[in-house]
Amino acid sequence: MMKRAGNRQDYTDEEVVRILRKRSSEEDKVIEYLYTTHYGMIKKLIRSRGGNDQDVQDIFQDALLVFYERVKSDDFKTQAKIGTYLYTVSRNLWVNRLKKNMKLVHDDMREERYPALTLLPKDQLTRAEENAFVKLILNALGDDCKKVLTAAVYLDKSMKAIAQEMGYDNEQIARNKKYKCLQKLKKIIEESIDLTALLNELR
Amino acid sequence: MIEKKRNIIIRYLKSLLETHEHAKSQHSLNEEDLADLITDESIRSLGRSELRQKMHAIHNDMIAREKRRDRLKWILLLVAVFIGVGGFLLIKSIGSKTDAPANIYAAYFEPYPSLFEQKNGNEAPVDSSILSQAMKAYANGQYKLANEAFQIAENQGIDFNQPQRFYRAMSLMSINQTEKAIEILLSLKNEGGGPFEEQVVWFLSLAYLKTNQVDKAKQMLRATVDSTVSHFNRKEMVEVLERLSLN
Repeated sequence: MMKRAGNRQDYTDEEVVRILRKRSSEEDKVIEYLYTTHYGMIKKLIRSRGGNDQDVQDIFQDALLVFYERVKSDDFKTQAKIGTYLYTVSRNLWVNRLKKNMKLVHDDMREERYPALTLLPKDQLTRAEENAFVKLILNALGDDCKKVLTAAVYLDKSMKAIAQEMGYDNEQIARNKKYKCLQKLKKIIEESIDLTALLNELR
Repeated sequence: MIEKKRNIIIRYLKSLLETHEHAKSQHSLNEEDLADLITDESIRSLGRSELRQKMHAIHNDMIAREKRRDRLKWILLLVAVFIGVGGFLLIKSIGSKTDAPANIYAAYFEPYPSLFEQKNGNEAPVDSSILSQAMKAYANGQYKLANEAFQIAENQGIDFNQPQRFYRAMSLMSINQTEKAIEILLSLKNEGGGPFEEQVVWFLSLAYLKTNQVDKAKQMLRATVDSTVSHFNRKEMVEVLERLSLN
């Protein structure tokens, strides 16, 4: 049962997962609810382990992204409590960051007081690296294409919803736009990155 | 700078590929696959970037709300402190006003009833001397008139007996000429007070309160209360002492 607390809507864990999975228009409200509800808990966690306000913000947002993507890809067990999940992800992200920064002197966060959760490497890509990559793409892609591709691929929205959001007359136009934008993006990538060299570096 | 940026992107893509299922068979990855892979990941990164922007906006809103709430808390706290202190001072001020010596005087002073006997109710007394007229006026509650008559008698050099001097003091107190009343009451006390000995002590104490000579009033009341178990207005004397001790 959804409840209203002040100006904010409250959701149960089941409702959060359901709304995110069905790509509901209520998604933004759910994200705001998750953010404002669980931020305080993560703030305590990170601050008590040497983090500053910026660390709290970075870690919590990354944890929320991990949760969001896991739910979208049906990789989130609905039995898990969202608060506990976010706490565990945040804790692991923070431990990893400390290790990376060689700050971790006493690893008291290894205690298994919380359910084990394995973070995939993709969950731990550094923001600086990702930001640099995104900037490269953004500069060349254009705003409309960015919106259409993000909505269709990352947010997994229907063509109908995208057409409505973008003000297109019908779904077919949205579909064509998505195709053209994908081609454009691919071209940008092929032109900006030496794929042969990259492949050689990877092998 | 360009090289540095390229290195960052390469590092990013490498770590990205490690996570991808194709990583297990990287040797079979061709340029087309890599382009597709990077395209997918680009969109994913764009989506993440958009979501981060949303979260950033939520964060800023939340912090702004918290700041507003904190500010409101401080304002409410200050208002509460202000009201508390103001209320305390107000109560203290009301309390001190209530128990100010002049207020105690007002609460307890009543002119002593006239013992002047009238033969026929309100008729004039047989003795029509100026002192009799003064006593009659006093009996009728005409304290100003009584005082004027007493003053005329005094100017005429007429001798007052002790009861007449007592009533003279009463009429003076009734029209707020307390200093002069004190002189008379004090002289009566020094003489032993006569038939109104106990009344003189009570009214002199009140007169001291009226003129803010609180220590003298307290001293006189305390001495009387401590030395006697039955005295004119003893109960009231105790009450006055209690009220004075609160100040």
